[in-house]
Amino acid sequence: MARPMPMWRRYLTFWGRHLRRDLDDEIEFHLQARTRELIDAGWTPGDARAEAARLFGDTRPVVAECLHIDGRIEQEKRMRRWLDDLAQDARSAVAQFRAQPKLWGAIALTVAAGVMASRSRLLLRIDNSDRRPSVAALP
Amino acid sequence: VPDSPCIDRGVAAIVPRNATPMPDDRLSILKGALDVLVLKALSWGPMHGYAVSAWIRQITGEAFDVQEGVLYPALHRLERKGWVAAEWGLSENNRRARYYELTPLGRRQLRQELATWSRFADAVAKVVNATRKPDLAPGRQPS
Repeated sequence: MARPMPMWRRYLTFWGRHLRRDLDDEIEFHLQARTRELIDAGWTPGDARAEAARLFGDTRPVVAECLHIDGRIEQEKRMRRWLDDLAQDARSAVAQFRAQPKLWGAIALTVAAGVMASRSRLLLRIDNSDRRPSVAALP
Repeated sequence: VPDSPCIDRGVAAIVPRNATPMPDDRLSILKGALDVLVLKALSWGPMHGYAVSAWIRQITGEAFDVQEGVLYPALHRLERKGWVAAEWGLSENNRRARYYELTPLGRRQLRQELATWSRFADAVAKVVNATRKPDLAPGRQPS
């Protein structure tokens, strides 16, 4: 039965999983357990390790396929987290707006006014501009 | 079962010992068994990959020539499907090991798969144990 991992080990995974190292650990655990089983059955340690490796088969395609799958799992987890964060932000924004509609209405109006003002200044500058585009540089 | 280089390489995983080589199309039927075997093993509780492999060997009396490495892509694939969840823990020998556990979705999937396999096995058994000759189509004589 699995025992929970000590708390300090969990901090090691704070920055994300190291997929290759985890996979190597997983395969090594299997090989060691199988070797131990064979030793208990009367094999010498060297022969037992070789037999465990033979029974496991070529590790390269196993590692390649598992890494591919794990990469996709991590990618999907990141995407799910990002969508959760986005949904949470949206919910929080709606909740704040509902709590103080006047304040947020005023903020929205101020921003809208600012955008319109800067837009109209830009249009004014374009209308008043008497400079023609320079054609001298053109061939 | 999606194409898996590991499963293709390790077809031994579910081919009975001493079986003669079979064409790939027939093997593909057997490949589907691996997911069921793994899900069934995990229905007893959380296990690491080695324990899953050992349980399958014990329960089948080593009838299948399991190339053990094939199990791991299957476990990781089941994790991606959301049928099993994996977590690192410490084994009985205080070693760091990755434990797999059935999720509610995996348990539901197992029930469906077991029903399908039971029907399949029953149908094959009926054919294998059949004692009645096939009825020939009227008007045709065996050559």
